[in-house]
Amino acid sequence: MAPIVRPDIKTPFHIDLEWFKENSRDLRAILHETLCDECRARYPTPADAGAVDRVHPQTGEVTRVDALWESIVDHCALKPGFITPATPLTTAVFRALLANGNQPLSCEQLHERVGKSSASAILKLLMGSEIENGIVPVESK
Amino acid sequence: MTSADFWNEVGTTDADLEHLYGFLLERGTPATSRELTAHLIEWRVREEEKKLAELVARRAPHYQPKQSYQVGQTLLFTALGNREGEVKGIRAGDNPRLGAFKVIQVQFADEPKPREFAAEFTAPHPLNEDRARAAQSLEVTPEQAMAQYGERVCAALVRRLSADKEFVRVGDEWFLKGLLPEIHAGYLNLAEAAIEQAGDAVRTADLLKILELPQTVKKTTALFALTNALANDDRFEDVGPVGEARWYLTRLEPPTARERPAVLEAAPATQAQLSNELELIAAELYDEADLNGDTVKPVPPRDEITLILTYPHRQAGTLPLTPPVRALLPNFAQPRLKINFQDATTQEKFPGYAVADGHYLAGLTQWFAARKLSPGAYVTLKRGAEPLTLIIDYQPQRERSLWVRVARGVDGHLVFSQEKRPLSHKYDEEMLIVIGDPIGIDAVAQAARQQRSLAPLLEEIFPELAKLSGAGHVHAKTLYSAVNLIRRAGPRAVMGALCENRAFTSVGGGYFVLNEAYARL
Repeated sequence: MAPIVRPDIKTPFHIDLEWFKENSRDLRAILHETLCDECRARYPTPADAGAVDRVHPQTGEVTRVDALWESIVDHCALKPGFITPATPLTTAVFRALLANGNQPLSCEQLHERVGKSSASAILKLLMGSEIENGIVPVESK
Repeated sequence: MTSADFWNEVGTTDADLEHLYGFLLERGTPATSRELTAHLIEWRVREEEKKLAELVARRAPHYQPKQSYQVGQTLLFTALGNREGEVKGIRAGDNPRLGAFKVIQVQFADEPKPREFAAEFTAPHPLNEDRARAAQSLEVTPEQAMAQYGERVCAALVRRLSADKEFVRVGDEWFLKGLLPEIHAGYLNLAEAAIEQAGDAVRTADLLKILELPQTVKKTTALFALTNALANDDRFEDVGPVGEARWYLTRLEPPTARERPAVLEAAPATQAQLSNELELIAAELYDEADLNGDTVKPVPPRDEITLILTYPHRQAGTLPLTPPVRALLPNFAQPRLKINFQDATTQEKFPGYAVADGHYLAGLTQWFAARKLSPGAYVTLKRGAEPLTLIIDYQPQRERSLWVRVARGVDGHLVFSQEKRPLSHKYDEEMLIVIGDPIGIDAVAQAARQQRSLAPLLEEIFPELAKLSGAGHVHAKTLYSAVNLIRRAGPRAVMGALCENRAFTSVGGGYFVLNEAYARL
């Protein structure tokens, strides 16, 4: 059995997609709410957004991905209003992970991306008594 | 492979070592780490250019998302380490956000399934810029690469060569084990006898002349082999300066040169912030204990320095080897440099050692004793006419009885008195202390070494010294000299402890008085 390690500011976190199913939360609805006005006009409801071709920003390689994720990562997250100082910390951390395509980020990296609070405060937030937006340490899976 | 990956790999591969093996085999003589690095970099740059030129010669177009492609076309993918793939199919792109574009299916030779890439994709993309073609070239000459990556490659190469049994290292030179001429025990016995007969360190080239190795062996190779054999035999030690190995016998080296005398051992001290006045006084004392075991920072060469003798050095027959003293000597990287002291008056020469680890010069016991030098005496070192000679001098004066500070150990305590004593040398007024009772002082020193802090020692010694002065003033240098009778400590450590202790108050000029409020406690 793997040893239990207390997460610290270097421990990577990600969004556990299963958590949304287990807690009867609709991730796609949340993703849709996160879209910018332009993308929301393109996809008026989550059901309008199926799979699309994503062009890799470095290699040009094409993969089939959820249009909501693709829009957020390659378009909405690049806009200045995606994470602002006024964005609540819980939302900002969630959005930072969405913007990273749910590739794991440590609290140090999250702090750099949200640009406020501190790495240890973010760790305290994520390790609170309730899991926020399905964000969990990668090791716990 | 990116340029950074390429340069991280140079010097670490089996192919690199194999190439350098061939290089040394063909060269037939040892090469320095830098020479091997330069050769390797040149070879790797040329090889990489050749490889890239071959790729270009294949005329496969570089994949760019903005271009349109045909089925059956071969493309070069610069973002995937210049891999080649063949277009197997084309379909329409599907992303309302990106507009119209095509998707090509590309089959790479070593992959089971084709991968898809964008085509006729006109949105901004780094591969759509023409600079993407730069990946065809390292864009660096071997000379530029040596300047830019030489140090990193050299470090990686030295690590790799050190772990390989085929390569032998002597100093900074490398050669092949299999090409070394045999230096058998007989040769080494001859070398031992030759050094003993010379009574001094002997250069490798001079030993080689005596040994008469076979004429077929190249001189540089013979020198390398002999150096390697001597360095791996405990009887011999290189005591020469950088670039000129000189061999001496370890059994002829005095114990003070082999191991730092216990009286010179100072506990690590915290470096307190001193006033400019005290900093200046401390700097002029050139005490190696202030180095705190730190690496010596080189200072510009100089020709002369005057030191004030302290009791630990007087006892050990040594002098501090601080950066300004080291600047009188040629640079050396070995643990010891064998030198000759030359008395400035008599011109008599006698052996000495500069000991790197302990930061001291050894070999002065008899010279100090013959001149009856007391702690506080001025000793001058000058650069000699020969690089390995240090001229040593003191400031003699007609012997006469003078009122001086005399130290004794009484009932485990250090006590001072003013007495008339004969002195035949000039000295620093504040530092001079004549030893009245060496055995008693040793007994106090034994106990003082157990003290963890300098503060109680200062509080005990200060009143003893203050009583000798009408105004109760004691100079920081006097305290430093007195503390060193029983406990090794650098001037900065003593002065730092003095400033931090509220029992003492500075009255300027380097003098301190005992704070009356504390004195009564």
